[in-house]
Amino acid sequence: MKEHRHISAQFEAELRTLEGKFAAMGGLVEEQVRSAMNAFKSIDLSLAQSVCTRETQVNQFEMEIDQETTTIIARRQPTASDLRLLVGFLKSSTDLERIGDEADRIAKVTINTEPSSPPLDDLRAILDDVSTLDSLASQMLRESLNQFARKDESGASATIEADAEVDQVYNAVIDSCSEGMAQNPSHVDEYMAVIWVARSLERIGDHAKNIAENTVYSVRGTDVRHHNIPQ
Amino acid sequence: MIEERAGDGYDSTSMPEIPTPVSAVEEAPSPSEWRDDDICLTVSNLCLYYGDNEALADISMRVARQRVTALIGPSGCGKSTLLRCFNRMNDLIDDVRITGEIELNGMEIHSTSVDIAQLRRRVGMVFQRPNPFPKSIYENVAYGLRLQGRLPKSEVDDRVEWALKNAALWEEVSDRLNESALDMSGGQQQRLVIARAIAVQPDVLLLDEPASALDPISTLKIEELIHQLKQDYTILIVTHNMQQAARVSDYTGFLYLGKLVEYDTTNIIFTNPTEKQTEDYITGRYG
Repeated sequence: MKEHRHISAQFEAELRTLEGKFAAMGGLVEEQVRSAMNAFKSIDLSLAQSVCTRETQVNQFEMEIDQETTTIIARRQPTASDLRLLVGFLKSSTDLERIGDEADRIAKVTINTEPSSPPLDDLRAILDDVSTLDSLASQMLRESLNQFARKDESGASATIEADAEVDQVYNAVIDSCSEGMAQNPSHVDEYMAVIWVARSLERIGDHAKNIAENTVYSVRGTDVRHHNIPQ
Repeated sequence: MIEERAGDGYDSTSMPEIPTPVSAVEEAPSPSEWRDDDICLTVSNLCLYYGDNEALADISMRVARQRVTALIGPSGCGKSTLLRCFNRMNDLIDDVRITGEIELNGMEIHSTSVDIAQLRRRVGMVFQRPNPFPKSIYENVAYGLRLQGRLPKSEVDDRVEWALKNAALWEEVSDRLNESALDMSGGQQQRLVIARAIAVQPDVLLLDEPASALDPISTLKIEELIHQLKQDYTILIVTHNMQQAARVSDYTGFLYLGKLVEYDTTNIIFTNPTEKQTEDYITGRYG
């Protein structure tokens, strides 16, 4: 269905600017996750440090998007799809900020964990699973942002479904770490570091799912969260 | 562990009842859920022509009792024409032809047995520009009552006071009832006209752009009054101001080129309308 432009060019411009800002925040957050995971995998402390430093930029974006959205609501009194889009910005920017927090957490784990050398064999296998978890969660994040920008609600529905796979791999990582800690109690710190990172990746998947749910809401107007609550 | 806690009086089945949270917004039932006695007006296949020009095209809708129904749409869409059908104001215009039916509480208003003066008493109307008579405040409100026949002065006094109170005007004018209505502010005049309309205790109030000539504070007072009045009256309002429709109404109908494009609860129309034309209009897009 072709979307017509607003009669008010200024309102149109405000919405497009906000879309641009949200996309920029999404790009920054994706980069933060990528850098945090690269720093974790290669034990690159300076890269991890730069992730922590850049975290304030993510927070700055969230505050600006909140403030500008609130102003547009107050001044334009948007309705229907415009209103839902703005609610989508408000909610999704909160999710992006939380994803930024998780990237920051991963970076801090890298900074605070003393790696043993050579690493344990079973830990190497677990780290392969963490890489899979990283690919899955990062893909969910990338796709949820593209779908939000393109108003692609059917793609967003697929992203919502993809979270189950992230949860599955996450549970496998946790099980393996529990076993490993029981067998190698002197390496508990390293297993705990992996658990923290896996936990953050799983949370990133959850937030990407929220963004996908916000896309469905802003495009179709239906609330697809929480299947166990009767509508 | 659990047994110990149970022994301490812990019982998961005796959790305190959490009250169901009330909704912050008023939810009117969907038109599909209305029962027969919720309906005040029923419009069936209504067409209206000015000469050869079709101004209303096959409109069918029901209007809920003691609710506020807003009619919105661009200029010339037929919303005022539709409003004027409900008390047959269009009869005053030459060359108008109407087909279809309008029932008020089951009575077909075009029936030959209907007394038009009586119909207009039951279906009161307020216009965009306040139109008080060049008489005193008191006489303006008493005017409609006097048309109903001779009433004892005390009863007229009571009804005037009642109407002015219900129009949220009594406190401002109770000590100057004999002053000219023309000396009042625009907002007061509009509330006076509403008092005049409700003094005869109609079933339905038709409001045609009732606040578009008023300042923002007077507008809010009229909107608050509409909210109060719906406890007793069925109200239909035509407005150019979409935010006003969103604020005051329970139901909204969107008209375009003489057709009723969409009609639903105001919550649905303003958050998730079904029709693209409605969406484009309320979001301010080029159609």
